[in-house]
Amino acid sequence: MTSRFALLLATALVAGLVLAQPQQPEAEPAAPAAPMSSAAERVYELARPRILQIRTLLQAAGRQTTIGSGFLATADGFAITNYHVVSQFALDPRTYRLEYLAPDGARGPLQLLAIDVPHDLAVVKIDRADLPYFTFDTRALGGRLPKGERIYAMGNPLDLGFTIVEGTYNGLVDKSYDERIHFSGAINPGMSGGPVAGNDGRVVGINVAKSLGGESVGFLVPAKFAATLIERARKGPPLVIDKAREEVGRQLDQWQAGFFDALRTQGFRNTLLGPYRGLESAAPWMSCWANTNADQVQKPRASMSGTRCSSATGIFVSDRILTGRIDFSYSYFKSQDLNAFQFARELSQRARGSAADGDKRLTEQECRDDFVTTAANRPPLRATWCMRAYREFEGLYNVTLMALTQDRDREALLGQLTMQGVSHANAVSLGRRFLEAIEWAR
Amino acid sequence: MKFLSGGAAQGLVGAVARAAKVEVEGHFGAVGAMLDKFKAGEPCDIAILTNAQVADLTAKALVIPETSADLGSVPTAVAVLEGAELPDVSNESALRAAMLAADGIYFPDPARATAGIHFAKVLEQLGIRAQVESRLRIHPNGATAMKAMAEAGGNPIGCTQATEILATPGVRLVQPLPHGFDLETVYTAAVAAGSSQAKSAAQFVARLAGEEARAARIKAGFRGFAIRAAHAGEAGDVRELVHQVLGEYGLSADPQGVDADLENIDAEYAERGGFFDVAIGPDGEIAGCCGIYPLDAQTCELRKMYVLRDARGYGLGGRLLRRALAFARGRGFKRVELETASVLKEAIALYAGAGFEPIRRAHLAERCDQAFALTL
Repeated sequence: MTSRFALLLATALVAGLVLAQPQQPEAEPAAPAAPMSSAAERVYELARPRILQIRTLLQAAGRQTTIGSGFLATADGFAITNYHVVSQFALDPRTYRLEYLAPDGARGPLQLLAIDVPHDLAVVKIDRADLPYFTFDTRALGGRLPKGERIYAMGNPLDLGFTIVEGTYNGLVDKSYDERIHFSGAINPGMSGGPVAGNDGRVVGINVAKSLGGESVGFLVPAKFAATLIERARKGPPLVIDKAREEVGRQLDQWQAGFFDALRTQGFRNTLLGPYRGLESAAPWMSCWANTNADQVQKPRASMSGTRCSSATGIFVSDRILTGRIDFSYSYFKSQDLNAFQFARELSQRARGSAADGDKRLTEQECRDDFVTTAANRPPLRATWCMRAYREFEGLYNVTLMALTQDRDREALLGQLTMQGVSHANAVSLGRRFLEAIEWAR
Repeated sequence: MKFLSGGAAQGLVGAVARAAKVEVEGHFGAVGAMLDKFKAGEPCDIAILTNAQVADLTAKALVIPETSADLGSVPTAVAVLEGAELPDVSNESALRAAMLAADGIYFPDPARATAGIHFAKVLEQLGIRAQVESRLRIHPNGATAMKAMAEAGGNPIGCTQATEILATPGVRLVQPLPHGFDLETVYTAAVAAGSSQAKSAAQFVARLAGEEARAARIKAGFRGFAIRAAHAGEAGDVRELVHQVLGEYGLSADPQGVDADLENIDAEYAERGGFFDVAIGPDGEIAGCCGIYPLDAQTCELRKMYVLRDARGYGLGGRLLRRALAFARGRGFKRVELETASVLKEAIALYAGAGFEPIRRAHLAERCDQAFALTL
């Protein structure tokens, strides 16, 4: 059971990355859809005039850069899409602009009214009020949709026109911090932001991601978050487009504050590796894997066994930044035929970590290296704290903390805590607990 | 919908009610005060109190037994102002130092609020009560304490239920009280026997405690196991659980005989005037179960008390038993019997602790070699 979830989440995480990229215009067309059921045909007829294609264009060239889907949700032209479909415009409104393509072939400018970055939603408005619109399924809003119900995912990707995919509502994803609906059905990239509706055409969720691999597993944002965002767009302070970046930063900060509060509330537990103990989160949305080098063909010169627990969270910020994940990983090394000097060299190479990529939205990685002893009865550690700041979002960082035990010649524990999009206070607080929890088990 | 609820559940109730378009009325505050209002006859559809208090109300038939469902447990935790450095409170000396360093200590009613009663003891235990007396800021409940702290400025610290900290803007949760000072309170919701809209109240409780609200519960600060009545579709998972535990003790299931009741739980239990509970783990999986099976108008049998190995050591058996006995009392049974096997040592200790005494029974199920009874 556990490994099945782990696998599912592993792919879900990657899928977030994949589908989070709105379809590039030059991408391969999707495979032709399977023949439609009569129910699907009915939903198709109902839905078609209510679905939009949402295009991001370069201001200067007027060329489209990405395409996603959206759907009309009010009589006066409010439409829902994914935040990731409009993120380029939100973060850089001087370089990009938004345009819609209606099913009747009309096109026009789109106004960005509200965003919900953690749930990956946005409200946009078209410049006309004569089109029919979707309503939300009240059972879905109240969390009363039965599992196994037939639902239909729709989108308007590329120039293929309208796409409809039949599938099943499978409840909420078990191990998820932010609510996601588990959809059994083959949603395609480019359908991002499109609606998912029941037999009666009422919306239960919004396409957001799909699983990689052969299985037809998709993920939807529950409709209630879209309903709330429309309310906010109508009643809340208007989104000033030149300040949208600040709003993204504010939402990321608020999300991480809540996430770390919940993480601390759910508590921690110990994990045992060789003669050492380390700290893991006990939160139900963490997924853990074990790994080893024992099955490597060539006889390893040092044996390694480890665990890695990762939060199944991933927030799309821009095409280069996926944030909001936290990882606890430990590797226990034991020398097979390395002498103390060779073993230490091997370990220090691993403890150096990976070089950061050159993403311009983050500052250069800065690292600090220290030898620390957290208590007299605990192993001394070499601790390396590496940090990168988000240039556009003040007060948020990607932090990696590595701790390598220094007490034995031929065995050692390497712990690594990775936190994405975290405030300094949260990073320091959890980092301290992480270091203090590394101790001898015997 | 009228609530009488511990303040700890206010944030969650608000979130679920908004999505369900249910209007929330009534009172949220220190559980002691809410229980007093309930007993004094204040109008109420849904009571959300500690599980011990709800068990007591169930036994007295003041709530509708089959509606009662746990929301989860809430740790009592430490809070600081948003933006402040999070102090170390992970052990006794760090906690003491953090309390002494604060210029105001905010917490709820030390007489009637769960967290307030507990935190007053923590201050005694830390031996700093006299030292910090002038800096204590006591408020009627956790929500008001946290709100006052958020508005205070300076370098305050607070202690109340985690859910109340998480529901208050301007304050941050540092961590639950450290080991040795910790407190975990299980909250349970139930429909009041006197509710004028019992059906929709029961639907709302089911929603609060249901799978769809699990993420909302966790975000609100609930954790751990939650016990509620089994759903019709869960019989297969219950059978799997029972078989797994039996296997662990070298016993085998008997689907034609003693375990036939698991083929259709609803028909065998609820529809005959009994009930069947399941304990749900934080991952949404069934981790334990327990049923009350009516034998005659006076006597019922406690059956199918099983807890998964990984879920033992959290007091789940005791919680299942307490709910079962409260239910039996509330339904007017005078005597509870049970059969068990000697190898199930933990369970037998639990029964003995609850006052069950050995009896002789003419026929025991094949895998059982002992019987017990309790007069209610």
